Amino acid sequence: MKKIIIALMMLASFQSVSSAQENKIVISNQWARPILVAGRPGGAYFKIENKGNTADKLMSVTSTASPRLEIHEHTMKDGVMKMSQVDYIEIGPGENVELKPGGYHIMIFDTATQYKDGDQIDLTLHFEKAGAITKTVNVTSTAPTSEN
Amino acid sequence: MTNQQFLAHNAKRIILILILLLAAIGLWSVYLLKDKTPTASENSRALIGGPFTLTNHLNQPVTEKDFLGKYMLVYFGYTYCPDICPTDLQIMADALNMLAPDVLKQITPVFVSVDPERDTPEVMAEYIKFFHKNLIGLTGTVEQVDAIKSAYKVYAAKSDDNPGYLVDHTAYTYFMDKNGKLLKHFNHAEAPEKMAAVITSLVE
Repeated sequence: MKKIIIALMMLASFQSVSSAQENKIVISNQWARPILVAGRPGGAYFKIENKGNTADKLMSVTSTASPRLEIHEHTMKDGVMKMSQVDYIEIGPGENVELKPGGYHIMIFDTATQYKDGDQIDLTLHFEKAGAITKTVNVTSTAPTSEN
Repeated sequence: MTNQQFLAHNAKRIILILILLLAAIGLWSVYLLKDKTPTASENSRALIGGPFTLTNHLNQPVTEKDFLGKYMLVYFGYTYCPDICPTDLQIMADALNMLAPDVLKQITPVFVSVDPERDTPEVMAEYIKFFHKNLIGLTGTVEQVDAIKSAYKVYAAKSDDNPGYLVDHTAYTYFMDKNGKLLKHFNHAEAPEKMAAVITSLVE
């Protein structure tokens, strides 16, 4: 019995630690584009706020909707849009980074289904320090207006 | 006749010659100083556009002649493009939806693929229906697409050789007049309100 209580306490304290960590990284405004044609990749976007005192990095993103997700960014040079994969996105303490069309975005390849406007997918964001944060993401063809 | 006498005798004539000379120099310099360099918009008007042969999303062959007589709003992109192209095509669709019906009916919106190897007419048909009912999808052979890219000064190149390659490309929307000449171009992520206002102001 004692052991169980200790185990429960440990579990509770572990959970509170993990949620404290999570609270330092806040994800909002998440949305994903529909897959318009089967086999074509999708895009997803969200805002990352770092409310902690130390920098953190978004290292990778996973989803049950796809075996392969990548973090990409756009660079515009001489009117040419170039898209390239990045290793991570760093968010400084007290800073926020918004993934949005024409900037950083998540590429979702080889999706299991051709999800459409109004559907939902899950995204799990893996941070170097804050760990994994899972979000339900609405699929919509136009960017939702910012909440703030 | 001494020099002095000569001068006195011909004073009026010399002054007249000098005045004429000065006037000529003046006119000449005005002519020289006048900037005859064409403006960027005049330049691009002359450079962008031209003949093409492609296949539309209904699998019918088309040329530039099929688009004469109406204004053409044209965007170059590819259906594998997950971010930039849907953004710009949605802006185009939003702008079209803001136009008055009598303006809208004078415009043919066109999406030209710069990725003909993957964008078959069938894929184009499936893709364009998400944006606007009037949108026409054009694709073709690699050579045909290269030809229209060259005519419209569009740069597009595969970023690598993987099957899931991405294409780096210019992201302009061109507004062509009824004779297929460039009237105006819009940059990536133009506000649809502005695009609609400019189109309305340019349509006769």
